[in-house]
Amino acid sequence: MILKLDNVNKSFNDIDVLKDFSMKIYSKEIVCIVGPSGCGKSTLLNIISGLIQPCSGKIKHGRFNISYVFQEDRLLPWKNVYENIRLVNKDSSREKCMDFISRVGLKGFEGYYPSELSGGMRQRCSIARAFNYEGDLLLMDEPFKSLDYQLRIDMINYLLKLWDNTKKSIIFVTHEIDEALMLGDRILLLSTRPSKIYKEFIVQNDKMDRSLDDSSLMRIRNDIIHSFQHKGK
Amino acid sequence: MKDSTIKISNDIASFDKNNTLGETLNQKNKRTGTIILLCITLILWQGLSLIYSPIILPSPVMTIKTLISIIRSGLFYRETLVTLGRLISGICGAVIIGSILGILMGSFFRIRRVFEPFVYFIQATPPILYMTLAMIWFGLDGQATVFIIFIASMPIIAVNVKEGFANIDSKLIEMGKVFKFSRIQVMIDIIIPSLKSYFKSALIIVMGFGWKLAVMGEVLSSSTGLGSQITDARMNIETDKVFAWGIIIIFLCFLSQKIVASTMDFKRIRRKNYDTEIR
Repeated sequence: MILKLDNVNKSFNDIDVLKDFSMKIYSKEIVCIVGPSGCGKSTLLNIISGLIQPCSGKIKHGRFNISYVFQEDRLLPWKNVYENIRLVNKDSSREKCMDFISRVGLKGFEGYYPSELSGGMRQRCSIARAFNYEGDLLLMDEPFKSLDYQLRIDMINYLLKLWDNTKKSIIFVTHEIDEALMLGDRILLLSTRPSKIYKEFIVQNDKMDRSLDDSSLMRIRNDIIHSFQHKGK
Repeated sequence: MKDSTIKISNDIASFDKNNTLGETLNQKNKRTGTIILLCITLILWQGLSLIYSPIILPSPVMTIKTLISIIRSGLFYRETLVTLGRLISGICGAVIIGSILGILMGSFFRIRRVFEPFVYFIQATPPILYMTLAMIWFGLDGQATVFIIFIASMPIIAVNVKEGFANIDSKLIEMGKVFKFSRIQVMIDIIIPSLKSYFKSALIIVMGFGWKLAVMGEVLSSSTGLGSQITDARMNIETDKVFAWGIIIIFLCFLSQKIVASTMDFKRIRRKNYDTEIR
């Protein structure tokens, strides 16, 4: 286990966002968090990354670096693609940065500034940046939201390949059930505010070789949709 | 995947081309407009100068002749350098003190509370009041001019830098925190570039304002510099010289603003170098 949240509470202006929230993250796993919008998924990631402090509760983890793909790209407008990616890890070699750039399909755009790129390209740049940081835990907050379907599939495959190389834990927040089914070892379904883990699904299939047509995945998918319709909302 | 990337890059390249083409067309239109306006002004000026005596309104031809003789004589370079020296020392002082004050006001709430009213007070006071005081305090050589440039420019820089601080994207600062940027890195990579555009516009304003103040200061208090030449011309009722020096000052003011604007815009140049380095 690399991260443990124990009865974490967080409220903004008397609105309880998280109430007695507990969860564990084990090493080498991808945990997908699915939930209705506004249920506090981003707040949860911000608490884990230390950007905001919980009102009460404990977060236990060893000394480690956290890498983050934000919902918005958060690239520096005055740095080009290459510089933005290099910036978070000054020790990384040029070859390594260029490798990340070509893997996210931005080859030829190294010298472009964020304002000259499309939303999807910026997001891919921010994903490459997060990978280059070499965190022990990668937080991803709806990272593929602005990508088209084909690119989304490519990115999922690439993320899996990368995970296979490094075996780092990933917390992946999304509201696309299919993304969660393709990636997750565990899928946590959150309830509406104040959020709790409403249901946990464990996906047994080898994630390097999954197909959405698979009957077991279909079953989980139906389960999730069913839960959404009844309690999740 | 590769194909699609290439396609996108082609699309962007053609987009760039169209864009620059549009820009040049636009610029051409703008230029023709300016030239037409200039011609109308010259014709009007010529017409009026036929009605009035050259003491009231010298003709364009006469003004240009005087202008050329001024530029040919050593006077032009000498006086310009004197005024430029005063301008630059005033503005440098304003930039240094104004930036420090702006950064302090932007970073610390308490300092802002103490200094903000003070800065606005300095800004609200008419420059001519400072001029009068400066003439009493520093006498009738260049110091009074340097002083009014400084005192009028400093609050503009300070207020702009402070405003820049208020508009720094907090999400970028958060990003720096997550990726464990050092304080110095946050300052160099996030805060200072965020302030740059505010600083740049302040500097352009101050440049334009500075020239006017420099000349006003010299007309009132100095026997050297461009302003003193205008005073001399007025005393000798050489209206053509007043016009000629006026044109010189307008040109210098325009030029220095353009220089500031272009030197503070590295983006395009850097992109080019970077491309060749990478590929």
